[in-house]
Amino acid sequence: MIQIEKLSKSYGTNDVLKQVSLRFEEGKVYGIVGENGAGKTTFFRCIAELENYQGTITSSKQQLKDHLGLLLTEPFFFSKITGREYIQLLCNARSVSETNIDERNIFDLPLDQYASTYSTGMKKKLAITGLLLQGNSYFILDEPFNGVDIQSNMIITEIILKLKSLNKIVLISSHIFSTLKDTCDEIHLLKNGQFETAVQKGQFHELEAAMKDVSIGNKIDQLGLH
Amino acid sequence: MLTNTNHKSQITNHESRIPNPTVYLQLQFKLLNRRFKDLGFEPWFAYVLLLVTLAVAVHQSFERFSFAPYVFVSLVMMLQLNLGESKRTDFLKTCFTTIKFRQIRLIENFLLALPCLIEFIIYQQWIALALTFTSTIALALVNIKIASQKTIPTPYSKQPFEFAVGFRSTIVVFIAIYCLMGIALFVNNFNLGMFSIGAVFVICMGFYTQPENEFYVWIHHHSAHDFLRQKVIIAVLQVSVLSLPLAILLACCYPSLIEYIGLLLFTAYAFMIAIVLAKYAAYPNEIQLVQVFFLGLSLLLPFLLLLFIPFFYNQAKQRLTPYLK
Repeated sequence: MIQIEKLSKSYGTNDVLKQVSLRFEEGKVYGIVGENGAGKTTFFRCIAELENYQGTITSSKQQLKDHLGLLLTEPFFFSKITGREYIQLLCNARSVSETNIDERNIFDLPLDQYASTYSTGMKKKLAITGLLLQGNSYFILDEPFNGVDIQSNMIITEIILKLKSLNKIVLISSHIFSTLKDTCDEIHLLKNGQFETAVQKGQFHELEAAMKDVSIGNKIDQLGLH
Repeated sequence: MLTNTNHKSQITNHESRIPNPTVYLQLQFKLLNRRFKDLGFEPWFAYVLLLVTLAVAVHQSFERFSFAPYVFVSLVMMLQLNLGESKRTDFLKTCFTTIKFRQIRLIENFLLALPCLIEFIIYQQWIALALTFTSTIALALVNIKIASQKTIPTPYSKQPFEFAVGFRSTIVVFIAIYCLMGIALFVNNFNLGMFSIGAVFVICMGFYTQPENEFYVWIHHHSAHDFLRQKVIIAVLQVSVLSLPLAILLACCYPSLIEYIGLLLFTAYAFMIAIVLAKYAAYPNEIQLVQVFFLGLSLLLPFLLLLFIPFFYNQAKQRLTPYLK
């Protein structure tokens, strides 16, 4: 379980998160949606303790961050580190030994090449592989499907469902609604620093329709395309 | 005819939109000044300090070691190689015409080499002057893609990242240092051998001058104390892989001078530890003026490291605690 109570975060006078309270349960996948700049990444960074914040975040496992796999929107890689060394670094950081990296390289990444030479999608797949090999209990996946080919997107979807079956907690942010429909049990809409709506699996289409209505409206007509 | 005129004027308009090399170089100058300010130096002071340091280093080394000019030639070439890195040059090519691009690369390389070129003229080191001048022009004309795709093997793959990355970036320098040790033994020059060992440490210390992305600290499940302990142990072990073979070789050839080798190693390891801790004492920023000052002071009075190492450790522990609760 991850329990968030009255979480607030501001940068100067800009209140990004306002008294947010949420509870995430084991064995569930949660989608976090919101417009660009809504505060999704800040929310994730607070959970990961990469930001100072007001409020409390507790989890069933002591030291949440030590059991958390964090996939950043744009993972950073050193210029001359190979894919294998990147995974080794992540495993060393969590004292995970006895890792057969080659056997678990399900994305068939060229592990002995420099990670910086990978394409955007390959980098994301490498970062995901690293998180999985760490043996985490909680996962925050910020835009896991971005830049990844269709086949790998299918694999990532299956990985998320497998994590759910293994009783892990997975939080996903994605700008591709269909990927959330396939994986999430609940979707939370972040707007104006607060979670405005929480939607259960059966009602995702209603959320999608409402978001379309608000986001698109008559903007396409305004373009005056003919 | 009309079409041709239009075409010509279009080209002229396009050319005029391409930024002037001077504007680019001014921007680079501003960026460099900002970097000095980030380090805690006033830019004018940093330039004076660098020039004075260069003058002193040249004066001291040229009088003592006949190979010293070539060390400076190598340093200049290394910096010029960095400027010619393929991603950077690709970016410049997209911004400027071929002629302007070449102008920029030549000016950059020349400005970088200028202080050393002047020193070579003052000390009448004509071969070093010719080599530097040649590299200034040659490296401005080629797009360098040194094995950027090819993975260089390293003994550090099991404990990434500092030495794995640093070793690959400076492998040419290590080859040169090992050659230097070979020359030292061949010409029976103990000091040159000592210099080679010291150079290994200096290059390895360079691996710890830039702060890593916060993610690479955050991922650790250790406390700040354990994190630092692990970093120090890894640094000491990994620098030993490169330095101890040289030290042992030198000790075998000069058994009567083994205490000097021991003293050098002891001091160098202390500096290695200090620099690792100094890096995290400033984290997530780059090493600051205060750390540079203390390290500089320790160069003159090495025993001060006994005070500064615990000082850096305490600062580093504080700086890392937000990431490693």
